[in-house]
Amino acid sequence: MNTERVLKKLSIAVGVFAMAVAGLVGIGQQSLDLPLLVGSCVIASWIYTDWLKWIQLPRWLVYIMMIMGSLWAIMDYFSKSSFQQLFAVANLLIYAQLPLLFQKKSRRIFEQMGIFLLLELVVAALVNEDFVYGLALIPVLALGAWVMMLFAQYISAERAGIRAIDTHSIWKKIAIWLGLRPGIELDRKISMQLMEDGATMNTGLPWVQLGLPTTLAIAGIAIVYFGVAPRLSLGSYSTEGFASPVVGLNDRVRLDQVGPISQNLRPLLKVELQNSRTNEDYELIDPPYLRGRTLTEYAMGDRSSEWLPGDYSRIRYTDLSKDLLKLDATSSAFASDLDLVEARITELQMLETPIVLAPFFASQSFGDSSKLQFDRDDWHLIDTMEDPYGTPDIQRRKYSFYTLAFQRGKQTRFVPESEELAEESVPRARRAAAPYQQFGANQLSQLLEFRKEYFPGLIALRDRIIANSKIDASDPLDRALELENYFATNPEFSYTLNLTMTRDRSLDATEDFVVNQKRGHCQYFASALALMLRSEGIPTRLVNGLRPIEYNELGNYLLVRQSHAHTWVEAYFTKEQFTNSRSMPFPSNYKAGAWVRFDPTPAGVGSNSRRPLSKPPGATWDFAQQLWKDYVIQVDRSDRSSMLEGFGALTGEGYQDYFERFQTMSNSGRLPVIGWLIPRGDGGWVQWLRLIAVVVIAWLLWRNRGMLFRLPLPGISRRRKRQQRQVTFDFYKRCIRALEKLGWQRPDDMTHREFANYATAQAKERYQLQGADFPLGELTQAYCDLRYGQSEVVDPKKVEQLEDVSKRLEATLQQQRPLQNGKPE
Amino acid sequence: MPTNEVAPLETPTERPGWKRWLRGSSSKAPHETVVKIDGRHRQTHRSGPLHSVRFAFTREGFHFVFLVAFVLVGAIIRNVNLLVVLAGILIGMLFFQWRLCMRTLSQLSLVRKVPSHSQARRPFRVTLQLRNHKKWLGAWSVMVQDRLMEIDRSNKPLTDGYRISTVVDRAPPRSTSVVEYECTCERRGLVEFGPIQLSTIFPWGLLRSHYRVNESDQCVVHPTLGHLKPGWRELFEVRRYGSQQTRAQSGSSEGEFFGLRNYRVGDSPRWIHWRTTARRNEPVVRQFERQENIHACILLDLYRSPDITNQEAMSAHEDLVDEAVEFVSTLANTLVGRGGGTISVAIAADTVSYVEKIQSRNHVVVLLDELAIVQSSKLADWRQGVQSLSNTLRAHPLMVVISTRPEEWSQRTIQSGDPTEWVLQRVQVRWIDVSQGGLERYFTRTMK
Repeated sequence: MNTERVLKKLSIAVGVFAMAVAGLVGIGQQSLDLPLLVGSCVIASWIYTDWLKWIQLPRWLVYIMMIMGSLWAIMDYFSKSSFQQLFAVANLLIYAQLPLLFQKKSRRIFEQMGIFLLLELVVAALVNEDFVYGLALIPVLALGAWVMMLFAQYISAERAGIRAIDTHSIWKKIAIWLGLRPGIELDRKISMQLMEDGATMNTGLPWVQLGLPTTLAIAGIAIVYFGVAPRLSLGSYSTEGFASPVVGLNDRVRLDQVGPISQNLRPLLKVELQNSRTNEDYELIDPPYLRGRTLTEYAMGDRSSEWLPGDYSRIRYTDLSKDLLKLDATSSAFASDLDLVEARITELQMLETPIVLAPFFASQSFGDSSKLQFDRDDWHLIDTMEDPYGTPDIQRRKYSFYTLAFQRGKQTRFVPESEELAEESVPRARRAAAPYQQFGANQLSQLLEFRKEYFPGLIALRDRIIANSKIDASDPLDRALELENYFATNPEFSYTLNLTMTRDRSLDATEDFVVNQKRGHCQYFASALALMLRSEGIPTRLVNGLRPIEYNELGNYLLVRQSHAHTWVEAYFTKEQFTNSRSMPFPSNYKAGAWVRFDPTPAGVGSNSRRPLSKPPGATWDFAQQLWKDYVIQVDRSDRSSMLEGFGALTGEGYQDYFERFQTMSNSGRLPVIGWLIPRGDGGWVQWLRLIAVVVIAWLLWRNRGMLFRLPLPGISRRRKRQQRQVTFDFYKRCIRALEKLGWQRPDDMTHREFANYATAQAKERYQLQGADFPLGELTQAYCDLRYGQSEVVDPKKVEQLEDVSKRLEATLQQQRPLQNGKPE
Repeated sequence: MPTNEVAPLETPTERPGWKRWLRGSSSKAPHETVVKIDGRHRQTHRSGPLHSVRFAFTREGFHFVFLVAFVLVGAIIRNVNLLVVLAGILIGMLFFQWRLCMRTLSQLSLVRKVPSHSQARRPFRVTLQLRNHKKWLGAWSVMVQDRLMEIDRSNKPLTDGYRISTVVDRAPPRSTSVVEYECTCERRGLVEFGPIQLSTIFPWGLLRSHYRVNESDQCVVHPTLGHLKPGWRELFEVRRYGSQQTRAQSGSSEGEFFGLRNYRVGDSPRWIHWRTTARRNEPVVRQFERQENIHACILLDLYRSPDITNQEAMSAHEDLVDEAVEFVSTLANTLVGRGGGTISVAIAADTVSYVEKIQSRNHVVVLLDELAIVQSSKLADWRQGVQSLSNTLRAHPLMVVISTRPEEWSQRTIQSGDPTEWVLQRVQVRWIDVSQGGLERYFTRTMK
């Protein structure tokens, strides 16, 4: 084997692998800095260190450089956020690794580089969650396997050669190490030289024979391990986003943005809807409105024009795990005309605020949502599982619930109050008698807060709109609809994200928008409408949420991006107000009143209002990305595969739900065998013994499968034939051994038959053995027939007969006295 | 060198009752089989079931396992799914490393071909045939490590030995790969080959599986043959007196054929070469070189003085011994090789051994085998050597003593009444003291 050639190949392979691993880190970092740095160093080392041999750094200098690089990275580490510290670790590994490239390559160098590269792979796994990483991981690991294979070949080649055997004691070795004795040298009394031929030449690695099956098998092991690996908690580790959202969710609405607003297309949520009555995917006609926070308090004036969540003192949180409306009740009068839809929401990105988006719900269905609570006043969710140190919970959430918000593919405009669903709520008769009684005084004042002196232009516009309309001015619902329609359709107002206009700081931002600018995004339109409705005396609030318009047909889910953030208005109308309205009938299933959604934002570039549901291109890639996240990145304890439940039962508390599921199945008689095996919780040591016994029996059966396969099965005839041949050779071998014990050995130049004749003659002469007492000739004939192919299969009866003969011969010979000189003369 | 093909032999090992059940019956082959042929060893070793193959972590393997543990713990504690995937892949690699390196060594047989004897300072070739009996799986990067050791006649090692390692890169299923190496021994002696170790770190170098074949072969390294100078015959010319001058005629042969010449008067008609005579049409006779049969009787006296203590003196002494041994070897080879000559040799060392009337090459090999391993000794008793040659000396009363000590010293050891004295009275003794350069007149050593 040519060691130099393997070394060259290995140097190149390690360099390529280093670049690939740096590329993986770069994917997570969304930067090409590290891959370019590593790539340039690798190429330079190939040229100047490995090829031209101009630069071969001494070991001490390399260590100094490694220490300096590490210190540089450590300084960077302390100046970064917790997540970005991972990149500092990646930098540390790479800075420490780069000087090694410029050393003369040896086994030590490759070992050190291998450790650094493996650690870089670990860091890359921590900073990546993109599907591209998953795709790139396979070729990178294949490359790594190739590098390791070359390394093993190099080690083997390096070890080949001639060495004196070191039999020195440890003390002698210490003396040699201290220089007190000469070292171990190859004594030249015997010199040796390897002759290279086809077997020892570098004939390449077995990629075709081993590469593909091994890769597949390793992937299989990785998948199985991934399925059975214990998960200690819910939720999975996720990386942070890098782009700071501009258009996106927030707890408040500030109307003082200036300049262009960029769109953040980063995926935020995945929403799957399923019709719970038919168990089919729910087909939407229009994009849904996903509710976030409701904003009731408007800080108005020229300084701060801002919508805030409002008074928290009256917030009534309820655990989401408690059913608000029993599923049975969904067939009640309230839900009779609505579709019962199960919504599954998966966060794809860590949300900075603990708000979880939701339309209104009827009953929570599944998922570990015990940490989620909802506000009974405005339905917004809050995650109560914040850690005591104040850092945000970095784990993404998955939850689902049932909703009655849809009707024939469209989301209804009505949002009920929680009391509409709760049975223990305020008596409905009293509510009907006293409108707005469900609101506290403080809350109602916030919902109606409006100062006329700040909004003369807004009031004038309202009056002009109403005056120019043909509606019944006494109907507040009709008036509200007219105002919404005006903003959405009048060309005087337009949608834009480019807020380059000069703002009049003497005016409230909404007043300025209505009077001067007449251009803005959804928050301006919603704010204008909300204030107009409040000026009419209608309780109004803003809702910050999302309106996804991308539907992935392949995966049947809505992809929600940050850019789908939207703001709209909800106004409360009593039953009487509905009853008097001609344009919008009061929903028959509501008793006291309802919140009605208004979306005054016109269509435009970047607007999420009045846009149809779209099926954008790239659905396949997006679906693959989602699969990767669903089945790899975000898998947690709640997602363990039922296929591997059996493993779970043995691991105690970590797989308790598996155990319970199995228990249920076994009790129901569906899996009686497994139920018999799985240990029960009430100290069933007998079951444990059963399980151990089954494992031991299975192991014994496996070990003795050869015996079991002697059954007359057609598939194993070939094996049985081989066994026959082995037995046939065996009898001859035993015979020859017996002769050897008596000192008769067959010389080279003697055939088997000649040897048989010779031995027969000797036996006759020396031991008076002949004929049937010494049937070596017969045995030899049978052996030669088999050995040289004159007969393929020996008759089993013949084999048995020959076995008997050989045993007799053996017994006979063992009784004889060995010769002094056994060589045939 | 034996070249017979031997089919791999397989014997299922019979195990008693419950042990057999525990060990299982799926084992395919016996561990090893030894076939001895004609006193020269040829081993056919076939590694059998996996439990005979052992494994150990390499240094890289330990690093790898440590990292896998690190990734494993980190993945579980932090719930990092990609780390779980990575850990699964690394564990898979570790598992396949174990399976592949264990399976690579299974069902391999090894045949080593070593010449039964060789000559010092002349290379000989050792062939290792690695046969892969597996049906589907090849074997890659199999390191074959052979061990050489100089031993004495009681099989005790004289040196620490040498280890020669070579890598068989590829042994496809059901095929044979051959590895060869050449050995050159500087000194005569006995060299033992083995045990052989088959090992592999294929495919990723994380584990090393190894299988040890404990059988060994021996090769006798004969002394180097030198060149006899023209005067060597004088050593064996007998000074004849009286009736001793009668020479026995060799009736069987006129000597060695030399050439043809024209017939002269007086030539025997038996010498006429009839075919050439017919072609030339004139009588032509065969010429013969006169055959001179020499009957040499040699006593090799390898005495080592107790005064030799330091390494330098010992080395010089061993060189003298080698010279003496090489001379006797060359002489035997020459005499027997030419035909007609005989030689009887007694060797006085630790013990006295002797070989009489060597006439064939096979007998020369026996002598060379003995000369290969003989060592000088303080106990060398030349008188016993004389006694052992007494039968031969009756017919050929000339004895050449090749000794490491001077003749005068030997005279002192003979006392009156010693049976040796009686023998010596009847024969001529030519004493050659090697330490005094006594062989320079007759012999030239072949150096490297």
